[in-house]
Amino acid sequence: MCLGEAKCQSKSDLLETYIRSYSAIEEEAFTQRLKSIYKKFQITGKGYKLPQLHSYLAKKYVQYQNKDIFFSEIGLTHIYPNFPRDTFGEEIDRVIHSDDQEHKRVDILQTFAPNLNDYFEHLTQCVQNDVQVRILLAWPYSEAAKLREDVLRRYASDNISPEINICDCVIANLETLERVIRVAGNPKLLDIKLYDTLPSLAIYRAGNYMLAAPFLHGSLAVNTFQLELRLYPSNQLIARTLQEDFELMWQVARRFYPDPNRNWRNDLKILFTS
Amino acid sequence: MMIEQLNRFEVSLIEKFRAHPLFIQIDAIAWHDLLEILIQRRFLSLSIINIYEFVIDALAGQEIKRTVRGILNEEYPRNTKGIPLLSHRELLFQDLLNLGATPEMILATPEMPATRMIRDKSYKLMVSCLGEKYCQVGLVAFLRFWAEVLVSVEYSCLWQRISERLSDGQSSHKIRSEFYYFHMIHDRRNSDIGKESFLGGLTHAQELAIHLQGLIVSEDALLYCINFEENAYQLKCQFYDQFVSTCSNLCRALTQM
Repeated sequence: MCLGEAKCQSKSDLLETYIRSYSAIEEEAFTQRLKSIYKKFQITGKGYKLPQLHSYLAKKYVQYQNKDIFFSEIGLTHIYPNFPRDTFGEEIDRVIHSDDQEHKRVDILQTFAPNLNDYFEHLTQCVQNDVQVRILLAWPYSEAAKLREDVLRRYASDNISPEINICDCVIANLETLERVIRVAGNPKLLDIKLYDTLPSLAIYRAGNYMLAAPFLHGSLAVNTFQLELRLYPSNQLIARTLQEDFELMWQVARRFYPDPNRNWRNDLKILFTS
Repeated sequence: MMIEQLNRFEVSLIEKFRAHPLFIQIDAIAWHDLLEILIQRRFLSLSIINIYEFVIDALAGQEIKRTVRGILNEEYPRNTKGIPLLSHRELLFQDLLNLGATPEMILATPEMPATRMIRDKSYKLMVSCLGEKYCQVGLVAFLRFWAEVLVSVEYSCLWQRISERLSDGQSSHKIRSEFYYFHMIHDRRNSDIGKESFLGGLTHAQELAIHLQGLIVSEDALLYCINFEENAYQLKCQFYDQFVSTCSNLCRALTQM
């Protein structure tokens, strides 16, 4: 506690600071205390130990400080053990009531979204309140979707049925979106696309709020840790990379609209084969 | 090498099929005669279910059974709540109505002897491979060619006329074809065997092609497969042959060639 950050004091300076800050102590007793500190931090190099201790602690302190700043710089604000259902709902509400047109967008990238039904009301309100909604899901007949299904059936441990059928899960999402379309009366602001590739992260975005989670072998993305990010931080390393990858996938994916007045399952089957 | 040989054979067989006199002169067929052809063709569509069920029971491998079962189940779609939707059979009926056939025409027109004979022969052909060394090859080859690859070729040839009244969904002033157009796309050969792409998904013909490739392990198996495809082609030709003499316009057009 008495060691200065800027430059290393001499042993007698340090002893003086100690006596001034805490209490009187014999020089021998102080030396013994220093020795046990050297031992604790494994300061075993040749020569004077005090400068070694100083440079060791200074280095550790800088590392600690940088890391702390680094997380906020890249926009990482929290890590959840699994998908924070209510928090994301609140973020969507914020976007719905926002006056800033820039913020009025909701994006979801998933293989299939097991929690899409939780946001049925939110999504309906979004498209009725000027919020652009983009949903990016796996094309259910893709080999990539089958591969993800095989991986989950074989390796997932978290309450996933060994009979999980990704094709049906995506179609269930499309049925939810069909209901949004019906209730909201053919909204122009709902855009749905399907992809035939393999993303590595699930992304849920509302305005400048984003949750990102990896597709692990052992569990669904919603049951995995979630990185909570604020977009547009000073260091764009993660936020921009994720946003750009979403846009790239959006470009290569194919538009699909589960029109309630159309036999859209027919269109779905041939989306990538025609 | 064997698969390349099979691919070359299939491409030439499809070419030959497309050159059937009825398809060559498809534009000369009177609309009423076209409907007659499609109504007879419906009997083959209805029999596909039996063909599929037969193959599932006769197949030995679990993986291939799963694929065939999956394709069959697509004929009877349900939503994810388990509620049955219109079956492909109903969509066929709907397309025929939209093309101008009446329910009476579709339901009461008797199956012609030639159509019935083709159905019987097709079934017998499948039965004939039971107990044979390359039975599995025969079953998959026949199913893929008779019920998928050639079906798509038939519908793409007939589409030239069907599209006069039904659309592929891009046109706002024509009713969309819910049966012919979609089967034309998702049944088709789409690529050479062994060249199926990981991206983009597979048609029914391609799903079966992957299994077929694994079953063709020798020259004899290849010849067995080629023989079954040739037979499937002959049966389909015979189906269309029956109309060449009965459609008056078609006869006239053919004699003027």
